[in-house]
Amino acid sequence: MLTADDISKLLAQVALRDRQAFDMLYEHTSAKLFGVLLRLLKDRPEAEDALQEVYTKIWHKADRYSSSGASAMTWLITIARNHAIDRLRARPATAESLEEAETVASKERSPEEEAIASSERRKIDNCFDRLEESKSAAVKGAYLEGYSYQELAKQNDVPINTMRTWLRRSLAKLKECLEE
Amino acid sequence: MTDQDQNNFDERDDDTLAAEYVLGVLDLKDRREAERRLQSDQVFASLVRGWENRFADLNDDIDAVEPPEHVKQALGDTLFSSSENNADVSKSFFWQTMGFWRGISVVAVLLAVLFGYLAFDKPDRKEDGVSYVASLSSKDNDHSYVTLFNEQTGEFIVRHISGTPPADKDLELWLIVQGEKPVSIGLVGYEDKNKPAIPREFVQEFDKDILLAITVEPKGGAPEGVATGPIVAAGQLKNI
Repeated sequence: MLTADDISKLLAQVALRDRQAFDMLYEHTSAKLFGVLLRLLKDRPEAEDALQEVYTKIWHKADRYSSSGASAMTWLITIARNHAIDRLRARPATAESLEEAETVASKERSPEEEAIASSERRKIDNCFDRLEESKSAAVKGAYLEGYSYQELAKQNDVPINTMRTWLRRSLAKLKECLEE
Repeated sequence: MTDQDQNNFDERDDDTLAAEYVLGVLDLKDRREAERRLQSDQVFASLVRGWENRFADLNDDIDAVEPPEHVKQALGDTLFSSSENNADVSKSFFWQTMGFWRGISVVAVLLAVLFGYLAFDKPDRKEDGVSYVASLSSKDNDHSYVTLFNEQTGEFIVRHISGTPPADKDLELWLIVQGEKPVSIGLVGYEDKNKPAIPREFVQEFDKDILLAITVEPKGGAPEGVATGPIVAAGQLKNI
């Protein structure tokens, strides 16, 4: 298992066009990024295409990492997230995809997820707990499942502007809590 | 509302936009707009970084999934299928991978152009003993060369077509028989003609697939005869 520092060093080598460092970076980070893409895109072939595109971006943009001030893994995940969200937003919103989204949204936690959730209480979890359940689910649904305002509004059966207001207030509360 | 209040309001507004961008709820048009600001507005960029870090803990809730092997394969083909700059040419030998050989097809187009050039400009080439030709190029930079091999004299003629010479470096021409170590043919310059010769015994190898590649090397050539790269142009040697 590579440390954050190792990944950061690999990125620096990739910026210098070191193919072996790139191979190693892929070996150690591709499963996580593929997990992120699958979770957001919910379509395996599309996630596979996206993974290839994401690593192409990483190869070309590695030199910008050092100035970003993020942890190496967060930086890599951010590239994958942004790529997947661009793909999601470029999709035409169909009735089927909304139904599919609702199915996924109502999925219950696996026993494993439950165990992790109860054993490792993170600050962010405590802050989410301070929000109303539906609002906490909306913010998490946006971040983890890639739901748009439109999808969130439909799931909660509220007008889109109401959804915006809810989400913005929730974000402000979250920030306040995280900075306590 | 005082100016201070107005400032606070603007700040919060940008911060909300940054949060919405990171969360991913914006539509495509608003995302592009936010990205334009990210490029030009340092304050906005730091607000976005702030939200990325704030949500980063949630990334742990996403399970890793091993991607299929063919993705890695396709990635290698896309990124390294031509004479892409490589920091460690001698170790990785990427040019021997399938991707590289597939990349050669790009060069085939250039060869067609070259044959035109030979037929038009040098009608007596064949009689001169020139029997092999390679067009060396890369899709990643503007370096291109034509090399002609004279079977009678054992000389390579290297013609520089385009590309800017790297400062304080030499360019070195390599002959690569697939699966074997690259052999240095010699340094090439930017003059119209350079004639590094190769040992006779290599001529018989020409029935095989031969690749020529030009790498950037320290002044005087590759240390200990091992290429240190990167490759600026490459192409396959063809019998004419």
